[in-house]
Amino acid sequence: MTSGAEALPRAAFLVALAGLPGMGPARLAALLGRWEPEDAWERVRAGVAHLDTSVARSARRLAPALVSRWREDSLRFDVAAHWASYDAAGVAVVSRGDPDYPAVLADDPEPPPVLFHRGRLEVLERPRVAVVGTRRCTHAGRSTARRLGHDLTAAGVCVVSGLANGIDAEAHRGALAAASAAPAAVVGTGLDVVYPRGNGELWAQVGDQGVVVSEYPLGTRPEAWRFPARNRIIAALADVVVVVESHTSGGSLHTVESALERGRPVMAVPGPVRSPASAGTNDLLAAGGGVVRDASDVLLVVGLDAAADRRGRREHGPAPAPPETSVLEALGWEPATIEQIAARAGEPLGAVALELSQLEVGGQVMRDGAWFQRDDRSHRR
Amino acid sequence: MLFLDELGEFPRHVLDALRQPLEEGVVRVCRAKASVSYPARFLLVGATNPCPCGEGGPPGSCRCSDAARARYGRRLSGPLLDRFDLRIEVGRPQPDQLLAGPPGESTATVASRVAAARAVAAQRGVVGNADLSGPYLDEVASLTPAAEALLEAGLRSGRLSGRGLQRVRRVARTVADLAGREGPLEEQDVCLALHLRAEPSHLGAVAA
Repeated sequence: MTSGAEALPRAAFLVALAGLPGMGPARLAALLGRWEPEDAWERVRAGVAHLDTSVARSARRLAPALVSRWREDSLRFDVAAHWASYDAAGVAVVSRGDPDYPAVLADDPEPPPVLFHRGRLEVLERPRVAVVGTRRCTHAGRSTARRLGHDLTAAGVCVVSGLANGIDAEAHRGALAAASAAPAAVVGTGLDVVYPRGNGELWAQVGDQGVVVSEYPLGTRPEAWRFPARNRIIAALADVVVVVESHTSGGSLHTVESALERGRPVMAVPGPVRSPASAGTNDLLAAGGGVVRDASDVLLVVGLDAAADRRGRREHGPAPAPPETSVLEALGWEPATIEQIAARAGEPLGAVALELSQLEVGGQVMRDGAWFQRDDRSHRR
Repeated sequence: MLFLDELGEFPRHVLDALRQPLEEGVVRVCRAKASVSYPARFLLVGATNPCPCGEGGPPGSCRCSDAARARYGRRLSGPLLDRFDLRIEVGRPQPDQLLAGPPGESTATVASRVAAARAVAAQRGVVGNADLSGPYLDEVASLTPAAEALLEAGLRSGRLSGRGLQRVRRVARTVADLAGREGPLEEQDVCLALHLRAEPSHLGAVAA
């Protein structure tokens, strides 16, 4: 990396502009819509960017205070050092008009002006399916998300999600477990600000095997208003949006709304009618959303040959169905406590506890605190 | 007996001050000139909502954010929770159960069973099995090989702490006493004791 400003790549000025205070996607889009990054940077430094009528019209409230702040900051700003920090973080940037900028976003009504990314942007050339859902999910939802993530990836799909806790994370985990893993994540923070913090490892793996993208520069903290904006990018990237579990309100319904605005098909996984975590998804189905029972339902909509997938599954053969014990029958397919199970089965607590722990080891039952749920681990990888 | 309702609403330092008397059965008051110990053998019962919204219920039904749940859970320290022999999540009963469920056992039936178990404990020279200690515990709460394997797995997976191990054995002894079983503890006794010491789902992973 040289320090001479004339040797700096175009991208260096993109990240410099994006790093200015108060420079959101809307203002950045206005500046980049008018000038090349380096010219825009010079105009910001000269404090004259707001004088251009097309910028003044399209950029949101370019107050004089902000213009002078940009000017002061940009005069002190070391473009080369800033660019070197992106290089060190392994983060690249593309802007609208770059050949590498994802084609599907270029035609979007609200395209991100710049896209920071770590990993291979090419994975977005595959058919893309967004697998999203609530953070407050059930075990069944987790397991379904993981399985969809895996099976869709194995069929050649790029699984797009948001790296949030719950359904999002499981969809990514499933995708990473497939042989030809190529997951894509869209996050609402800077690519160096892992949020939620516990997902650091997953975050790194998605970047290593696929791509993590963000429209925000390094150092951007998580803020509630950025997540709906992030969800719109997920919807914009996806050929189909699949919601695994959703309450009657929440971020995944935002993604659905953005998808519908763009005319993308929305599908949902049906859930128990009494499960609050499936209330939103069941509503989507009632409103005419596509039903997702497994990956083949989605592959059909994406236009990939689902028959191959079904054949593959038959070759593996279904796992032999384990015998239905009285405890399993009493447990049913909704979460239940041991007391409820014992009462339904009419067996003493000790015997039920023992059988449940054996079923847990055998992978037929999964436990979350005091709650037991049936688990279909033959679907797991 | 000390009953603390809304355990999660107490300041953490107040709750943690209970750890020493719980363990040793005495309260020590130390001043500049003197230190006095008062006997303090008590049964601690605590009740708390699972999270700020109090919804409880099966996974996926709570309305709290992850951060709010974590904040609430942090009020109860791991070491304090570790000192509870029984940790039971009480679910919201389903409406059909309340209206038309089969009647439970009468309190009198349960009371007679408890009395019988207490009598067994008295023969061992203690008021309750919770007072069994050290070598004597090994003697009266020996384990069948299957039960031992279960505890070993719990220790190895980190779900069970050293302190927890002894506590689980005492509870398992009581489970067997209540069922009228003598002899070494069986797998189902230990299994139920482990279950009664469940990690509360809303508190995240706390070693038992």
